[in-house]
Amino acid sequence: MKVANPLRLSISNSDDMSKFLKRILIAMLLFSALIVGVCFLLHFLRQKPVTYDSECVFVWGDSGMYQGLDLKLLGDKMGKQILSAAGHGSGIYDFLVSQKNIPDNAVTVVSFSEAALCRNPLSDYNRKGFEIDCLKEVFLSGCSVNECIRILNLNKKSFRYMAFSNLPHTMYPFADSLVYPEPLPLWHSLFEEPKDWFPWKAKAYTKGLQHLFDKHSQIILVQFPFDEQVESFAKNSINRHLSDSLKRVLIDEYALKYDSVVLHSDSLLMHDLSHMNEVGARLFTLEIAEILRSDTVNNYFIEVMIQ
Amino acid sequence: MVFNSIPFVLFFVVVFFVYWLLLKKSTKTQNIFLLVASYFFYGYANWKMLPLLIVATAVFYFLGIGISQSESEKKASILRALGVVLGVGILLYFKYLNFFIESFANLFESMGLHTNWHTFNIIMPLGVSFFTFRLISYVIDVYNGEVEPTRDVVEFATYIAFFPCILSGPIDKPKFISQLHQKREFNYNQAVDGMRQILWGLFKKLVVADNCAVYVDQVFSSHTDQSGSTLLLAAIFCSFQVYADFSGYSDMAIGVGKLLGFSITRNFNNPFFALNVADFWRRWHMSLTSWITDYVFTPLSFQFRRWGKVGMIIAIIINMVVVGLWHGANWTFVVFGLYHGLLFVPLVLSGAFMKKDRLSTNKIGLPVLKDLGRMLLTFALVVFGVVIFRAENIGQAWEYVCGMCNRSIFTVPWLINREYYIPTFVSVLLLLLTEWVSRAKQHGLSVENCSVVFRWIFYSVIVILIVYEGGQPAPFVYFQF
Repeated sequence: MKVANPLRLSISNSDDMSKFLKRILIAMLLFSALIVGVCFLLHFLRQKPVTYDSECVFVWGDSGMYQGLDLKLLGDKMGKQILSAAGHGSGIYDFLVSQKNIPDNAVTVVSFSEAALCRNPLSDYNRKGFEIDCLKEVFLSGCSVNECIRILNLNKKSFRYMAFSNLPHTMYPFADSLVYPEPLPLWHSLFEEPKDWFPWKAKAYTKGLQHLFDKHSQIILVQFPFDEQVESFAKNSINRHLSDSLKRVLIDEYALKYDSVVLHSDSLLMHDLSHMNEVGARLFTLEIAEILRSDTVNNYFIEVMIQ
Repeated sequence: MVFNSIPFVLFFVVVFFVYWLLLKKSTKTQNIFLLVASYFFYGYANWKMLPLLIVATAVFYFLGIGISQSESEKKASILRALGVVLGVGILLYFKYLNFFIESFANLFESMGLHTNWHTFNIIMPLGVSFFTFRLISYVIDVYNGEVEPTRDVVEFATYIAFFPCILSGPIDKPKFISQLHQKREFNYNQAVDGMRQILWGLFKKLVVADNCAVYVDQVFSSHTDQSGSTLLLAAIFCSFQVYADFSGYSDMAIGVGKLLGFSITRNFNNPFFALNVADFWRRWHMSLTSWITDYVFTPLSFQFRRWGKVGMIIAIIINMVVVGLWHGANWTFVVFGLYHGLLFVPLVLSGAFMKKDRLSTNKIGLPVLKDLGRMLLTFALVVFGVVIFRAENIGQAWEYVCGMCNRSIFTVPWLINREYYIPTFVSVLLLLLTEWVSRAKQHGLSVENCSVVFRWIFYSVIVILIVYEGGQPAPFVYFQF
């Protein structure tokens, strides 16, 4: 009777294993190449190069800017077309994609948003489209691989996009009292708990601004106000301390002119804890239009305050 | 740590290489390593639940030995009963206690009796419904002489905690322990088949289930504002979502098992091609239905055998209510089980219950008209049941069904947008088509007999769909059970 040789069996298993590992490796390489190839193919097939006129005014920001700036009014006052990429929950990746589409020598109004810097990246909208350079930028700023994959996932179907649009949108209507879409404790945690993502968001945001400076844009950074209920605990919070430091660095580094716009009104200018209503937006828009008309050279950091 | 996550990939790569390259000479060492890996996997989700698993495993291990060493039948029977009570007790305490307290309190309130009962702050251990069923079946099978009690505590503990199956099954019977006892050799064909099955599971979960989930979640959360046709489409998508989600997980678990040299029980056999409801349950969550059939239905039908068909119907309805309740502590699951139990009644009365019909196909390989009709009818009944299954409460299920059954069912459904519905419909069709073609095989991607070129083109299409059309990752539906 023939007895199986245990050594032979072991060798054949090793052969099986090495064959399996080789095939898996080849499959992984092939699939990786295929995925990258298809992504690039779709990227180039679907992305229409959009060129904007440098005479336009470009706007980026999250919901603060979206609800705080009346695009039509600003356009009328400036006699220029206003193109906006502002939107609810807009994240730093969105900012990088938007700034990439801004032409040289343009006027750019950019939000300095504490909420966008402190907010969990999972809540960021970040759907401005797939841009390898911008993804690389956030990754090199310290964004986690998981978050980069998430951004990739969010944008994998939006190769065809328009970063900016001039479509008007509804502003928050005036009301006698505030509405509370988010509970106050949420704002507590936003300001008072240190955020792991703050450093990379700040770094990527600064890089985005640097790119705009490299394009010789006139930059107007705008910080919108919070309601006093949020401001009461935010002013001494850790994240306010960090954002103030970033603000100082930006003002010094880029020689920004600091200015505060104080909005006076007998009626309520806020819609909720973090967004202005249509009255507040109108007042602010008139102020910023005046600044942009009177000074076409200097870069500004404008802090909006309500009295 | 879910299968479709980076931590799991890293974990499994380490397990695979240590298991096959460093420990291949000793089965015992491989088992010890598998046990440690399984406890790490389980503890990674919530380490606080690990002691419960370890203590329960130890108790049932000794119960098994106790049963086999009992000198009298009575003593063995007492130990078996103790095991069943303990297993069911764990399940009742962690999963159903609050449900029963709430239900009784509500019942008394409705009768005008005020109770001061409070629910407990109990965290349900992950996979409790799966590992308790393994524990219970072990003591029963040892008592019945179906398996020899193992003296190797590592083998037993690995069977209970085996990481591919502990969170969502399949629920292997105790005969699985014999695989842990045998020497395992790395087999190229088995490993490749495992990889294929994992790929197919990923497609089902990430492309079909997660894309369907987007629509289903939106429609179910706003069902009162939707048209009948939208509600119907969401119910159909929900059926595909639950199937693709759970069978996708099972495929990945079985694939991982194959990579480690194990043969894990099959859990789904193309349930949407079932010709009647009995056939559907023979194909859906097969490891659970097989467990319930062995340990609940068979003893019950034996008890009720004197009552003929009526006894059979009662046994089936109890059986299906247990199946429903197993899914969760909610009256919707009880009604879901009851609904499916009632669907068996015409089958029992007509004698079609035990008959295993074979699907007939025409010359081009499609089902003949009669069988297609039966398949569609079964599918429609299943879709209706899924509404009860998915609803948060009976009221919502009722509203949903009423919303579906009106004239608006003939309108064009809301479809989110073109970017959404085209890939979702295509992926569902691809799932059905692939499973139809490979219905006689173990899984959809059993393409070992096809040409190399076809195989690789098919793999590439699946990979591209997973990467490019995969929805936003959602948690596995069956993790909650």
